[in-house]
Amino acid sequence: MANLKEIQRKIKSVSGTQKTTRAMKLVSTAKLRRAEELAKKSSLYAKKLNEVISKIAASIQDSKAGGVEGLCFDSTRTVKRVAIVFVTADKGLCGAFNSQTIKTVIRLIKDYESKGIAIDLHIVGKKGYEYFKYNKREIKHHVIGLSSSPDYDKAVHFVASVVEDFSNKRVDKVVLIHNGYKNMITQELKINQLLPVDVSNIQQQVNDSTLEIEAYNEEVVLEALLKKYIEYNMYYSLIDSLAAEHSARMQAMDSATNNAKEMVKGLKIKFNKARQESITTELIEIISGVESMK
Amino acid sequence: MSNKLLLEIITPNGLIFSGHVNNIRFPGEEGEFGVLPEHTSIFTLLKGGIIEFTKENGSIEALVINAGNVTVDKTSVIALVDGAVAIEGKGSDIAKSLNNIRELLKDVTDSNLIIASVESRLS
Repeated sequence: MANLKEIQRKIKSVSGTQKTTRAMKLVSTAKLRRAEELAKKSSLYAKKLNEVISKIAASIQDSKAGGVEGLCFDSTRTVKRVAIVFVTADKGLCGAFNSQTIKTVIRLIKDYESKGIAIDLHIVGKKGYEYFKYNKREIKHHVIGLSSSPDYDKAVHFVASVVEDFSNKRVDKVVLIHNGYKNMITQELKINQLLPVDVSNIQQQVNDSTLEIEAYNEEVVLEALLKKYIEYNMYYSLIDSLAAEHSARMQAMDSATNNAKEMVKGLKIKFNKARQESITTELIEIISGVESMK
Repeated sequence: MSNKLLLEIITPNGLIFSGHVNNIRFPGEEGEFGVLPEHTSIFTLLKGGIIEFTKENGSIEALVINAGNVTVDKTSVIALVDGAVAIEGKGSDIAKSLNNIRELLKDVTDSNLIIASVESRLS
């Protein structure tokens, strides 16, 4: 009988979990819709902005602008220190969403370190921060609470220190990593070289008409554009990551709900078997009692 | 050679306008400038003001922007702006769209001038 009660208790607890996971799935679905819309709307702007900056980067290669602006387009400089900026979620329970990003970051770190390149880590999100803190890695800068509610001004504030390091020549390269939204069921890890502006993959699409920058003040124009480019890329990776996080959580919670359902089913069969068994034993006891009285 | 320009106006909130136009006027950082087909390739910043363009069917449309940049090519123009509000509306809608424009221009200097010109367009 004790066994029966125990199974019953288990069934109750698993169905409780199932209810929770289902609720979490519904919440994620609702949030995903909003985040997805935001990410979709912004993706066009981000894409065009990157196109424009690539075009300019390509046309500027020859004319070699000076100052900080020139630095941002100079891809020939030797890399001694890389700043890795990456975005993880603040919350767990979203499958392999965070670990995927972390794994990629670790791979990159190993890759760079084997070449003798130093690393600066800039982390958005609690999960990534906790992981690297636990592993006693030096973290240059981190922020918590930004990935669950992306905010343009906060993103700008966060990325400012990275840009400062770059313009001080303390850092020679800035890489931005986030797990982005592809569609409802897949996430796509995006590794984006933020600075210096990557020109290697766009060289071919630049047409013969070279882009001229209005001459009155080239540096002001470039500076404004670069600022926008960096800030917007940071912001976009946050909202893209948020959409991906919700879709990952939705999926994880969906499979958790299904697993719980399976488990309840199994437990119920077990429960019925045990009940049957106890009835049989009781019957045998009664019958054998009657038999002995004869 | 095509004598039409493909104009795209994009904000962080999505595509505002995409279509062929005959000419465009931009509020450039250094003053207003016009763009016709076969314009030389150029990139420049935009300040708060009014973008005005003539569509293929001859109708003129205008919208207010706060800041941004524009990339002009021979056949295409891509304007990336931070925020934009279309200038339109009749009767009671005018007040509403004026409010939207005021909200948009709250960080822009000499916004009164722009608002005044919008008002004159609407009335």
